[in-house]
Amino acid sequence: MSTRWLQVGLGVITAIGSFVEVGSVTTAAQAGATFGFGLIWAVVLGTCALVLLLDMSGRFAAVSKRTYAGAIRERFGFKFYLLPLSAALVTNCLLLAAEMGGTSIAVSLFLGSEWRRWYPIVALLVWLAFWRAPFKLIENGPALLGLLALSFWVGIFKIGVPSPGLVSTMWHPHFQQGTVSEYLYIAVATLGATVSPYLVVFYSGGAREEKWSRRSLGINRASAVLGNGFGSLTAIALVILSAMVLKPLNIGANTLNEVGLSMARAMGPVGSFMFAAALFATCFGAAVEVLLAMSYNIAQGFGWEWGEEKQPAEAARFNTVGTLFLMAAFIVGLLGVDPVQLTLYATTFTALVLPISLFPFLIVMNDREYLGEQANRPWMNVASVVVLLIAFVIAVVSIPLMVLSGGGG
Amino acid sequence: MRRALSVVSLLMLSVALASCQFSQSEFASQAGKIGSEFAAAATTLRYVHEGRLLRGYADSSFQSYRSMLEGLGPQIPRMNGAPKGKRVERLVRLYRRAEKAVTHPCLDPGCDWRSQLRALNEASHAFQRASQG
Repeated sequence: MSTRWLQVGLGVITAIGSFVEVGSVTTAAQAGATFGFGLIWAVVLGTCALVLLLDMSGRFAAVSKRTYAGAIRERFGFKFYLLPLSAALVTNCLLLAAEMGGTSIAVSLFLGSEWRRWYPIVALLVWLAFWRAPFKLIENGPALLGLLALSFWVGIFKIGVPSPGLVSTMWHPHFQQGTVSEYLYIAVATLGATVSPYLVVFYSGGAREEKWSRRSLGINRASAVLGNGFGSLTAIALVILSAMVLKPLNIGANTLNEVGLSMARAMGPVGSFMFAAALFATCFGAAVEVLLAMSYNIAQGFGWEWGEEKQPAEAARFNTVGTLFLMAAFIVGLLGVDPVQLTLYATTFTALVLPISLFPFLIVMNDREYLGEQANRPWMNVASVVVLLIAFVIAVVSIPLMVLSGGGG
Repeated sequence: MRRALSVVSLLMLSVALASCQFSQSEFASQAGKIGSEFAAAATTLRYVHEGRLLRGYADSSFQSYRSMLEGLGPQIPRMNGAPKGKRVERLVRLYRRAEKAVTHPCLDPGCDWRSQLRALNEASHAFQRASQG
């Protein structure tokens, strides 16, 4: 019994520690620095959708004993499976390059040199973790270090109470002339950063690695609801901190270095150190997870041998495809685009293709042949579809507007 | 076929009209970004000298600011929606002064970091105002 509670506790804690990554750091900081508390709703809405999707993902793996990609292929056929796979390839390639960029920037914040110098070393470390590290270490190691992100709340308490004018931006955001498209663009990027489909694949693959069964449904729900619920508080803290420190200084959080200035204002050098350490742990952890999720997706969809617990030679194609994907993302990162801009491209594109990525999964979650009495309840379908459509519609409206105005990162 | 073309044309016109109403011009958008980078540089410089920020963090940050501002200066007068005449000349002049502070920031205690701070703040405020029309 006590082991079971330990498992639940660890699941919740690691979910909290791994909630933020380069996407949520970038979008939360830009949201707060530009629109005060006016986009906290996007973090909350995205978290609700993520909780639902991760609960479904774990439930599916535990009850059906199947993998995410394997089920999509089995239910819809190989040709259809290629459609969500293509969307995942593009978004995850951009996201992996951005996560490695974020990790490199964190290293440069400690050592003071240009972040691009660290990029190849970070890529090598990510590859080594993917190639040799056991699943438990990948899942728990960076996530436990990522708990440093809770220091964002300490930063807020150090600075003091936000002004009533700032608090009122939560329900009455202030727009300067012509900034409606920017507001929508950051909203959609926030939703895309929070509801990342790679998390669904990674979570489902992890549940199979750990051989979840119906007995694991409690751990699944606790990790999904409590872990991500509390985890989202770190992203909300960053919105608040940026709104309190960066917005009055007219700093737009266009680079990750700027984001850490709010922690330096609150806690001095210790604050900037905590920010850099949290950025390193969360981005590195997310980079390995994105890579692993993409390898799961391809290997499971093509019916190859897969698993992080297996020796590389036992799952040769799984490891090879991961290595090739890492090389592709590495090349994208070398093109010179700043990680913040790359993150915004990745997250807005993610939101745009959310229906392609996740509607097939929702259909599978309603199939009683796979799930029996554990199939989705109607409210779960309605809630998920509403959030995915909101993200899609805002993406369709805001992306052309930002491109026409020469913005978009 | 004609009806489809009309619908597409109407949609494109709507997006174009909406972009005028809900989006900023290229100049306003870029001026806001430049103002923000100069503000970040000013804050970084101040925090280093107030002992709130480690030197390594500041070094890395200034490299990022340089990278963000790279090549923007000469483009300012040519941007869509940019002001004309003396207004734009003043912005370019302020940009050049502030850019020097970003390129060679005075991070050691001995040098005159306060004049760099003034240049960065002045440029930041001017670009922020210009971005709001």
